[in-house]
Amino acid sequence: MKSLSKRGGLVSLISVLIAIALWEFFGREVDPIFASYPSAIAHAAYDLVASGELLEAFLQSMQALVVGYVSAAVIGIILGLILGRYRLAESGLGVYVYAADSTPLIALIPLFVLWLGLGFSVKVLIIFVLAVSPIVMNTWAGVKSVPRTLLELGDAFVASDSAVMRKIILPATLPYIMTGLRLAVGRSIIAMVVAEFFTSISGLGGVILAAGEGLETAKMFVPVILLMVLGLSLTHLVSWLEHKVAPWQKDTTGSNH
Amino acid sequence: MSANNVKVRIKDVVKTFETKVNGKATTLRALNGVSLDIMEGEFVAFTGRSGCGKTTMLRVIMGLQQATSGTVEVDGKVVTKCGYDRGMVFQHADLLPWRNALENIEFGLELKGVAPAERRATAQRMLELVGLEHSAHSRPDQLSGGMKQRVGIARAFAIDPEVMLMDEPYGALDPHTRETMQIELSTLHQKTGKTIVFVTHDIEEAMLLADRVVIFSPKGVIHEVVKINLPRSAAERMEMADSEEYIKKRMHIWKTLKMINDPNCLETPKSLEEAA
Repeated sequence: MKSLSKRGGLVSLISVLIAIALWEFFGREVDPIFASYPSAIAHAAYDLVASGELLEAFLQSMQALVVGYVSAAVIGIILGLILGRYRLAESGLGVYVYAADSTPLIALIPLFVLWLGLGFSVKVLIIFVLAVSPIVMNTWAGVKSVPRTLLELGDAFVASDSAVMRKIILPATLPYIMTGLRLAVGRSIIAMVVAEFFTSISGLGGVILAAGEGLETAKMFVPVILLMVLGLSLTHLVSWLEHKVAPWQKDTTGSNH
Repeated sequence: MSANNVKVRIKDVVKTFETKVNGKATTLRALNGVSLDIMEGEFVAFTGRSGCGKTTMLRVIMGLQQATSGTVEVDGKVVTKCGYDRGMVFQHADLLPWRNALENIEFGLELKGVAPAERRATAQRMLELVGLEHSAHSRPDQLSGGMKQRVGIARAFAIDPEVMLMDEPYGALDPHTRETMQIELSTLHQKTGKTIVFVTHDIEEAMLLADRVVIFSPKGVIHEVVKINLPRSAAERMEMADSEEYIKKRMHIWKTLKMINDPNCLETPKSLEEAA
């Protein structure tokens, strides 16, 4: 098994190297305004790093991302637990969560800008709004899927309401919460870039937009690639955490295999 | 065993369920007036076919379900909800998958409010009692079916209940493991002197373990209570499977179950006393 996965990794690496080589070869034939190629992008990346522009933009983006994502996680988990546990909350509030999950909330960005202007807080709000729904939905579904027998175990040992929540529901729901958190990573990165396009003054999205308008295509690719690396790393990090916190759930959360 | 002390008194318990059959609201009568006294230290087996109410009766004693009418008293106190005077062993052990064996045993002690150091010590002792001291740190997914059920039993014994309620705990185990577990339970029973109510659909199991076998009829009533006059140790009883008492009682329970569950049978089976 191990040598097989090693070989799989080697095949992936070769595939990527070939793709980069082909891109380099054919990319040079194309007008540099319409496309770019790896060595030009590397060159642009060097300039962006050397000038400190990339780091500044990255930090600006990350600030909004972290604040938006973490608040989405905290509020999403709490809301999901309440919706799953209390039937009254589910009947009263569930319908709004469903509605919000099905609406393309990106459409509300102009309204958010109207409320909060073009600063940091509007970025955070947009990231929050897009990241929160997979977390709520997964946590909610997780609570609903806690086996009845485990809840009965709580009854049999005379567990209080809060003990049932802490000792049974929360740990049983953890794998679902982690899935929600993983899905939210991708969505919050998209939200971050979209927010920066709208506010267009800062962050990696700002760099992309400025480079695009200045017809500096190679430069534009640098933050895009950085975002890809960021998305992959964060998703892997959460996947790794997912297995770390719920090692008993080997089969149901095997997404990174 | 103080033979004259009633531990559990079941009085005229009726339990109905509202369900829908083909879209029509129907009342199902799971228990139809059950009365029984269970003595302190006694091992009573509830047996009968599926749907006869034996498990429902156990759950009513536990307080997981409320009787529609009638009462259950434990030590003279009417049962209204679950309490630490009763311990439950579930059919599929129902361990918490994120806790290891030791932590699973501690679960009830935590809820009972036992201090951490004492909790750990008690859990450790219980683990030894069921012979799992080497698997203290194994999670349920690393334990076999028999080991899981041993942890379930240790968890119930850990809170030191007066009455142990066991719902077909060995039903899912292979015959070999089951036999070992039956002997262990019998030893545990004699060591602790707990009152045990044990639901089983396996006549052999009831014969090996019980002081009295309670036969539930499909109508949700007790059809007959059969006293088993054999030594209490299951290991000894296994050796006596060819004795007259064993064969006679086993045959009687089997025939009775067969007759009361046969819809075409008009004759009510005679109880042992009537037959004598």
